[in-house]
Amino acid sequence: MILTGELIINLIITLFRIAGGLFLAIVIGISLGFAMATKPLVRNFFDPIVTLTYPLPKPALVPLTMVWLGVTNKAAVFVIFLGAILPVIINTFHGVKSVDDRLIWAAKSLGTPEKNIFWKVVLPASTPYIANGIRIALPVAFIVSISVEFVASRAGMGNLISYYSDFGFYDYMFAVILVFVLVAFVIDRVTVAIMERYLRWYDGK
Amino acid sequence: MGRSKISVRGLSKVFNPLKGNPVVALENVNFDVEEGEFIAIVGPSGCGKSTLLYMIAGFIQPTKGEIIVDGRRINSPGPDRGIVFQEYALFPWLTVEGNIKYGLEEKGLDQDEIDEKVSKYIRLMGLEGFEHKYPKELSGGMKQRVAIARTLAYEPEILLMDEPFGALDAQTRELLQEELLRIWEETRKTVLFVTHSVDEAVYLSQRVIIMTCRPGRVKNTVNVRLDKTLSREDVITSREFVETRHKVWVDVREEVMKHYCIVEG
Ligand SMILES: Nc1ncnc2c1ncn2[C@@H]1O[C@H](COP(=O)(O)OP(=O)(O)OP(=O)(O)O)[C@@H](O)[C@H]1O
Ligand SMILES: [Mg+2]
Repeated sequence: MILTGELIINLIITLFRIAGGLFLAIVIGISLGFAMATKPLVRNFFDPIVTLTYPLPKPALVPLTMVWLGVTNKAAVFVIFLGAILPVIINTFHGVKSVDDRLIWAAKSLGTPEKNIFWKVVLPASTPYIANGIRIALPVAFIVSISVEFVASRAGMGNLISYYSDFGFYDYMFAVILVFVLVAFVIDRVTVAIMERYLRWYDGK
Repeated sequence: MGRSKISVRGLSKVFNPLKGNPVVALENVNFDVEEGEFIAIVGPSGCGKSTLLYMIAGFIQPTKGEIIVDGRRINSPGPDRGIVFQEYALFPWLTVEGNIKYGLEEKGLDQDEIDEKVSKYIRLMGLEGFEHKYPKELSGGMKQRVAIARTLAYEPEILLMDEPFGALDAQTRELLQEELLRIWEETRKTVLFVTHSVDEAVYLSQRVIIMTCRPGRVKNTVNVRLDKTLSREDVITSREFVETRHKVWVDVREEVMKHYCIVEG
């Protein structure tokens, strides 16, 4: 019974961190992906950064982040953000690049001024790609959150797992892992269901 | 004669001029279109018909020459020129109704007017029952009808139509040809109609422009004088139709044969 209370509190802490990191990754990732696809200057600056950091295992940044931000919520959210933003940037970028010119032309000859083309055509046309990026970012955020909490946290599911494992409470440890996996699974399914609902129109080749 | 509605002067288009393999799509194309005229354009595949329409629409810029519409040199798209794309180019995230509505909303019409026009063109194009379907749920022919409805509903002065009936079955094609003629007679829009069908070109238009194979130039222009008050049956069996059709066909055939010679030898 001590377990249940502890479990819920730590689960909430971890989920809040994931939500924070993901939220920032989505907002900033979409903006950056769009900017990179439409502005060569932005692209030239961020392209090498994205390419270099993509294969990097994000938990490797934890010690560095600890030095900088300490053992704080901010540090955890920051590393989750770093892990989740890359798939969002990359997919948004490809989404914008793959918008059919003819859709933009059609809109222009139907009276859409240049300044509205982004909202009217480019954004809706690339939502399937953006959604895909978010879908990939989701498990990344879950994995990274646990890794961060192993080391750089005094709370959260990762912290709980390593705590029980250090003290040999392996049955408790497995219970925590199981709960976390279940929660992650449900969140993933719900996300996919929402996306499918809103992307009914998409003819995924 | 007054000022032309559209004037195409010395128009050339070269794709990839600075890269490895430049493609000369059009070379020194010249023609004029009067207000209210219905022009058909025929020519072998790849001779630059779509490219020509895209330049008149203002989507791409000529390499040489210019296009004058209503006395003004055009260099960007405008609401005066509506286009029906060969590949439909429907907005996939909008329903049939949403696609037709799009331009009307951009125009800022009020809701009643929009609803009225949307249902008018849905009826006209035989799209009843498909209002809430997305493009991916439609056949090629259905998509084409939506694309035509979307452009017609916007009521541009100039209609640029790129093989708009290409994906339709023969019966629907004939029905929509009649419908288009009726609309044209009613509204007297200026129409540039690209087609592969010599019959269609002669049946619909007042003048057929035949293009050479690539690089596309104007090979010949054939005037069509048909009595449009007659029924379809009487028109297509009339001597004038048969003779004009033959004239156009001979020119087109010559170019298509040349095209094959180039491709194969
Ligand atoms: N963006 C482009 N870049 C390079 N080449 C192009 C481009 N667009 C068209 N072309 C080439 O220009 C030529 C003319 O193309 P276009 O699509 O205008 O022909 P078309 O007459 O419409 O053919 P079809 O009857 O098959 O529709 C073709 O050889 C085509 O490959
Ligand atoms: Mg074409």
